[in-house]
Amino acid sequence: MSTRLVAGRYEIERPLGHGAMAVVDLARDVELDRRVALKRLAENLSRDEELRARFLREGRLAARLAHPNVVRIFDVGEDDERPFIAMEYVDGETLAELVARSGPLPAHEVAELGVQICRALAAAHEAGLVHRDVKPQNLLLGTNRLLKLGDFGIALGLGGTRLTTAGTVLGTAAYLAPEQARGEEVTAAADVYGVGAVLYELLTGRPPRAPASFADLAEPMEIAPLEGAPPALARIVMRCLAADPAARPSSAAALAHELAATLPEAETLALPGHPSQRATEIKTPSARRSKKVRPALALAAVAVGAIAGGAIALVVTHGGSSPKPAPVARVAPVPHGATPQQQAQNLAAWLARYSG
Amino acid sequence: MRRALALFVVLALAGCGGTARHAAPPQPKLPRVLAQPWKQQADSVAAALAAGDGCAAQRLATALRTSVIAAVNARRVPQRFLDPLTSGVNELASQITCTPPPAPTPPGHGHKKGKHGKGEGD
Repeated sequence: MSTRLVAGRYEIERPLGHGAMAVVDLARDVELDRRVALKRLAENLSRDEELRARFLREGRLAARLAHPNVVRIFDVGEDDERPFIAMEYVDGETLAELVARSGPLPAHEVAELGVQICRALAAAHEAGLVHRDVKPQNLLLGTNRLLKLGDFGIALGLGGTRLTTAGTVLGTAAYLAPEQARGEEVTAAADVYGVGAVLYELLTGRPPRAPASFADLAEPMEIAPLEGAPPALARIVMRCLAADPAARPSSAAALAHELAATLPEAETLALPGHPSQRATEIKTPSARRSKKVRPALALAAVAVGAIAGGAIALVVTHGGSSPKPAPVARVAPVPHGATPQQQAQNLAAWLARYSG
Repeated sequence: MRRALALFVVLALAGCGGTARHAAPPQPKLPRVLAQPWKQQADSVAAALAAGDGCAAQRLATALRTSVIAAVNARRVPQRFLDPLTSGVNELASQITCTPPPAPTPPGHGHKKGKHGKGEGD
């Protein structure tokens, strides 16, 4: 009896996680004989054109990012009208699982993991991407101690109907920057907040905020000081958690340098270069369109965006609520160039073709 | 009766197809003020790569990407171009590597170290 292959090449081995909107399976790519994590939009949602389109679009955009600290996306497509993303399978555990298993981590380990998270985010921000959902469930620590920012933790972390179960939604909110929860302007500084929230949890075993209601989200909440942590590290983490985005470290790269400075082996760590923009200058379009939305809506948008498309979302692509444009011919993608020179030529030709 | 209904359906479908062929949607356009400079920048990247100067190409590609992101953030790029444009530009920027040429050997030091440099050129 032959096994049915997803998209003609992925053989499902076992489920890795299941959520309300997506499932993630461990699969074997029979073409390349390697294991992949295969994420598919839940079957009942595959008929939703917008979700399907967003899932695929964001998967493709995330695929542009090649960095050792980011889960690599190998393939994006549709199988029997059901979108899927084939991504690197990380043999290890999420930081959420790590904390649940071993409790708070030693400070030097927290700082070292923080540097790795910042490396991933610095690369994403430099490419104009804002993650918007940095939390322990999305951070995968391999058995080789290499940390990877990924997205299948979203599906793993759901454990229920994230969009309809308030408690689960609020669980995610613990890591959301206050401005993000209020639906205000969201910039890469929200990711810096997310890093702070993750590091806080790694140091204490609990997230910095535990909102009990949607109303709590809109209000600044008191964050208990970090007792027992080295003062330098505690100061950095608390600055990341500042309510004012401008008061946080200026970028993920800058934060990486600050965290590395608390480590004795700082000089041997690979650190990101200085970014071309401050975190507060890298914005999401949804925030630009609407300065104020209700927290519940903001959360729902975050949840849908993150689950449907993968955690990494190009800041410029979230246009779901805009009215449908008049029928116009589809814009073709820039043809892939086999070499950088060919890619540059293809891009130039594409721009000439569509120049008004 | 059934045959007449089938004929009606066939004719109706044929009619729909014919109409669709006539109503070809117009091709969307990127504002020229954006597209032209970006095209020139992409041409410059290609030229730098053709000249073997990966570092210059990387600088130019990064500048192009920064310019595209700035235009996107300023909402000057039509929605339908966002995905292909940013994907194309990001892909270009991520493909290029900058390998600086080896530093010129100071006079008087090149003789004995010559063998170490073998095979390191482009």
